[in-house]
Amino acid sequence: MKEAIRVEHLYFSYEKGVETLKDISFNVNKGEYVALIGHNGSGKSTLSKLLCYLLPADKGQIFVDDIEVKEENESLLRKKIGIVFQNPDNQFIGSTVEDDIAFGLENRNIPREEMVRLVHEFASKVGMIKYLNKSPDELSGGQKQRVAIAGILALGLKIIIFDEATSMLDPEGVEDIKKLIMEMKKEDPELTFISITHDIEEAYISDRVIILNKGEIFLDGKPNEVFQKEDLLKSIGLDIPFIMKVKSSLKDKNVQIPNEINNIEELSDYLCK
Amino acid sequence: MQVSCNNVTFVYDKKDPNHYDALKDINLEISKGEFVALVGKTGSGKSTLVQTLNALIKPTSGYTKVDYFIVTSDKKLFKEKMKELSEDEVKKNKKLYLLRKKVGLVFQFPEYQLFSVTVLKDVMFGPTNFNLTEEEAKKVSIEALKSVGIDESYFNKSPFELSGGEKRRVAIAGILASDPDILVLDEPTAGLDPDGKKEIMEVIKKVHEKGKTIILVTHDMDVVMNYAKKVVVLNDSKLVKITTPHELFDSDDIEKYSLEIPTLYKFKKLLVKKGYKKDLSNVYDFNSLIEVLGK
Repeated sequence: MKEAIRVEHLYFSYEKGVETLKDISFNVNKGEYVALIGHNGSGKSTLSKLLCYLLPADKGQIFVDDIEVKEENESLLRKKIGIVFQNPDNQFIGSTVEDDIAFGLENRNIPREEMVRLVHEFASKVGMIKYLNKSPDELSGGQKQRVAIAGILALGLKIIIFDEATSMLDPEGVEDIKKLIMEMKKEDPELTFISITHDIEEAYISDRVIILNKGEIFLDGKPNEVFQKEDLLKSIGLDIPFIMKVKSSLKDKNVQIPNEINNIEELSDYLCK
Repeated sequence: MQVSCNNVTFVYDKKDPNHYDALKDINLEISKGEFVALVGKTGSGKSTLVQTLNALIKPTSGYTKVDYFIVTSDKKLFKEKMKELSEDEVKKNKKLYLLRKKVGLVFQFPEYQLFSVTVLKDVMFGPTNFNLTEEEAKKVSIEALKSVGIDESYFNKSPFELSGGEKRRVAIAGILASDPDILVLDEPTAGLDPDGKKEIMEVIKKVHEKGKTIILVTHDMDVVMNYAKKVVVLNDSKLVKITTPHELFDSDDIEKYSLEIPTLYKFKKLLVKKGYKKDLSNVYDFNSLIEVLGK
């Protein structure tokens, strides 16, 4: 099976008559890095909660690694898919960093020695090994977020969703976490990663972009194709990546930049030729 | 000087054998009406520093001064400083709420602190606590809500019915209703979409235009680039740089302190490095860049 996620005609409402998600269908292949973008209120976070069965769908079906997302399968699903949210204060459960990272592992009956090893491995991967005994009130927002990320990554899941999980991190932190995900993807090419983000530049370097607007899929495709549709994106108030913006503004000034130039490295080379 | 930090050092828990200085010997001055961004990587001490401004955190040594308010847990130093003040000012120093009224602090994710049954009641909580009558509190709260672009149709809604960006604006109104002289915001744009971000920043800009001092803690260098006039860089609990956005982004410090360089400046640096022929020294935003490239 190549599919990590299959979503078929999904509907969801928080209140009667207001559809938060409308007829959503898409597949995500194993190993894909998907950027899910759209305004606040477009349904991104709701969709991610449905994928993890944190909310039940009203209508439609979801399959995660071929397991149908429904109540009977909840414990199976917890071993497949995990999510990190944006506000670290709502995710800190343990009284120390060590306890917090161990929390998910403890619920999985992992032998103690293995658990201690995993906690240390991931604490060090997210740069928090020095803080194992610290309590959450001694940590900054970004540090707590690193801990939440370590807690999910340590579980060895096949599908990981970041719901703005790096929004509180400084750029070095974002870079560290990106590298870590890429390393993990290299080790396991089937690791599927869905990033809910407002960072257009991050979306631009993903494998695939899905744009939600008012609860519906607005665009879905490769970043290069999706971000070509400047007018369409503007119509729903979304920005386009810097490089696309420069190319299109220069075009208005009759400076043609060849199509194959797709990042600032290439553009600076071209302009300095 | 409206705000000054004088050799401010802070240790979270001295009894803890692993204790470390969250702030080390910070010296900083901010005048009335400035728009200052406080930047630095996670754990550099930004949030801790701003919390000394309204005495949620008191420096272990050294002191933060806001007008005539002295914030320190060094009792000897506090007594010494009191000698420099008038009798009235010394009295006021004992009333912490006066400082809290002067310095409005908007925390990270302030929308998580909304709690009242209606938007209006939530905003009224602050001014009511600062001894205004119900009627006065209502009046200032309505003004504050209008100033953040929340119109009357929202006043009787539950805050929980609002979108993320709206909730955050209500939370900011809750602080503005107490009419602080200094507005301190910790990561006000975190987690908002580009529209929400712009809305919040335009609200803050308007508050600044009314003559208030703005102190902003942020990782968002686009916000720094587009709004701040002065940037203070913290690194490993120390203050390492006071500069302007333009100078900071053009310098090499930006990588040194692992700050995010706005894509525009990244591109500009690449062009300079590769020997671009045209003069880029006046490029500071998108339009000025296109102006030069398109010539």
